[in-house]
Amino acid sequence: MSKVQSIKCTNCGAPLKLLGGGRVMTVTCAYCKSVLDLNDNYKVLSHFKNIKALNSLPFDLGMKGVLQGIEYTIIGRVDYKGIEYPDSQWTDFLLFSPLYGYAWLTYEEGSLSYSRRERKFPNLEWSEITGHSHIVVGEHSYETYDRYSAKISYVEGELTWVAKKNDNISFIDLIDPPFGISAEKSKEEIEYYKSEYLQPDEVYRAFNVPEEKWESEADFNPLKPFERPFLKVLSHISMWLIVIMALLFLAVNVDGQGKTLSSFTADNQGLKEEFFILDSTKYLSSIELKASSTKILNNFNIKLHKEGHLLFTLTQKNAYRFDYETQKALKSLESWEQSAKEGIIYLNLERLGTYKLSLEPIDKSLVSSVKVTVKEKNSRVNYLVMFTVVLVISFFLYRLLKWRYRRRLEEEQGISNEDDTRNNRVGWSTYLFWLGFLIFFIYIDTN
Amino acid sequence: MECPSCKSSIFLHDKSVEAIGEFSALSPEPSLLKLRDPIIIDKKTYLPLGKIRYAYGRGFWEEWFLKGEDNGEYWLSVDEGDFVLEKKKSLRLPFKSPHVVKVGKRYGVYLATEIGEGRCVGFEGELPRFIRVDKVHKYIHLSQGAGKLVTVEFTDGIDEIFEGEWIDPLEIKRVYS
Repeated sequence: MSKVQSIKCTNCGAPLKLLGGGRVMTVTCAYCKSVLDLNDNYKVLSHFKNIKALNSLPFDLGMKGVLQGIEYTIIGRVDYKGIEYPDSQWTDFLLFSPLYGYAWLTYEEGSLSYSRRERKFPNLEWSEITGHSHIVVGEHSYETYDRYSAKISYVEGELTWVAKKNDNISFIDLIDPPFGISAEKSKEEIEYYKSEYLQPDEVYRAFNVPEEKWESEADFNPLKPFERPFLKVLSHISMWLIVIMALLFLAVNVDGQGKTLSSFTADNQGLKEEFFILDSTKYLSSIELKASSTKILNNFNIKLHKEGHLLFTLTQKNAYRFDYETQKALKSLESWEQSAKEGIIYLNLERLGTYKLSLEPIDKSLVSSVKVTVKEKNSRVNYLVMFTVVLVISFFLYRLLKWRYRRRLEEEQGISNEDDTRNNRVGWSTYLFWLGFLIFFIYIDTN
Repeated sequence: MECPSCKSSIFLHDKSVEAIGEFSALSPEPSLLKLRDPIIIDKKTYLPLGKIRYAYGRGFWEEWFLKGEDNGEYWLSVDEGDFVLEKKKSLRLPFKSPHVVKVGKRYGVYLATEIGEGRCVGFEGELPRFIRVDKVHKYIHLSQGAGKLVTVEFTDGIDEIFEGEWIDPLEIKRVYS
């Protein structure tokens, strides 16, 4: 339990409660805004008279809440305004726990982060910090993110240092979302704080902030990790499926490119019958027809027999498959498009041996000829193309969103994309993906 | 050590006991540590045997005397959430007198980060040295970076040197929690 000490403001006599520990150096009177020195008989050091707080914020001094398993009391508040970016403003709330000491709760446009002193930062000069692209502290490798300065615009409650209006503080932010390090340089010293992004609603609940005071979070916070767990898993699975598909396409393309059994031309002179011998039932058999116009292609009826049994018929309007034994139509199929001038029929012929293919002209007066090619062992995996397209979209969706997130980070940093080669490194998964994609397109191209 | 009944300090010689007349009743304050309640830091067990409290400004810090599982003697400094675990060392420092040291200046591999003092306001339990209430304790913190720290205790010249590191209080676990 923390002890609460009461004093009176030496400037206006207002009662003041001290909620912090022994390291608190100043308290700012809530009434007259005088900053009192707790180590020198509450002498008035400065004042923030007629200075308003940046905003009415959801947190007030004296609020208690549990963060990261530690019960804290909000004992002080400091508002900052950016110097290079005057629109940038944020508030640090000083938290105190008798057991775990001091911490900060930072509020900026609805986003919240929690920081404690970081003692394991390497001994680096201030100028050396930005010279490193990454700095390893403990288990984290932090990326140097931003460097800026700010001045104090408003102070409330207790602080462990003497804060004056317009005091300048330099910051270097390093990030490894959801964690970060904030290096802070004042006139007196350099301090390091380890920060962690917090879900705002969890913090509001922890401090019992009434829901009407909850602020909606800004759409971007550098400490807020890019998290799309479902899309990430989907992208990863898609990548491997694309590779598998590419290999499958490649293997099938080599093994199932088809062996020509017969190639002939039929014309309008009369019925053309051609025999071919099927040696393999692997994959599918195909009958490819090529004409010079749609009208010519549609001028033929096609029939396929085996040992006198009708197996397949194709006319301008319909197509049927027949059972070998019963000769009953098994399946009514659609004929090809009316505008087609060439087509390919894939058939699953289950019996080896001799087949008869017949092409009969419908209008014998129409001068027409069609080139026919019959193949066996012909694979047909084109129906997987749509699936592959879906996989490609799934693969890229996560990466696209992540790329947009990186772009936003860079925009916030003010780093030109051209200058930042660090972020353009290509991972092995990307190489693997493009290899798979290349194989896939070779397959599509050769078919 | 301190008499648990009358709070008098007792100095233990080889075979005799001498009351040295110091009284050291400490006000109870919230703490992560408890005398004789073992703790674990970085997978190593330590037994808190005694503590000394020093006052500074409006606050205080405590130096806890710990016995390690290696039977070594350790000191855990606790100052409002700042914890430093150290062991006595004989180091060669790059300065002869502690009085020349200035905060923010580098001395070889060390960066002087803090010079301070506190007045002993009391002690409890077993301690490896004779403690006098009201004695002023002066120290210098020298950072080696990455959480490594050297503490120099001094009066006129360098008295003792301790080496150790900052500890995250969240990493301190009680054995019997």
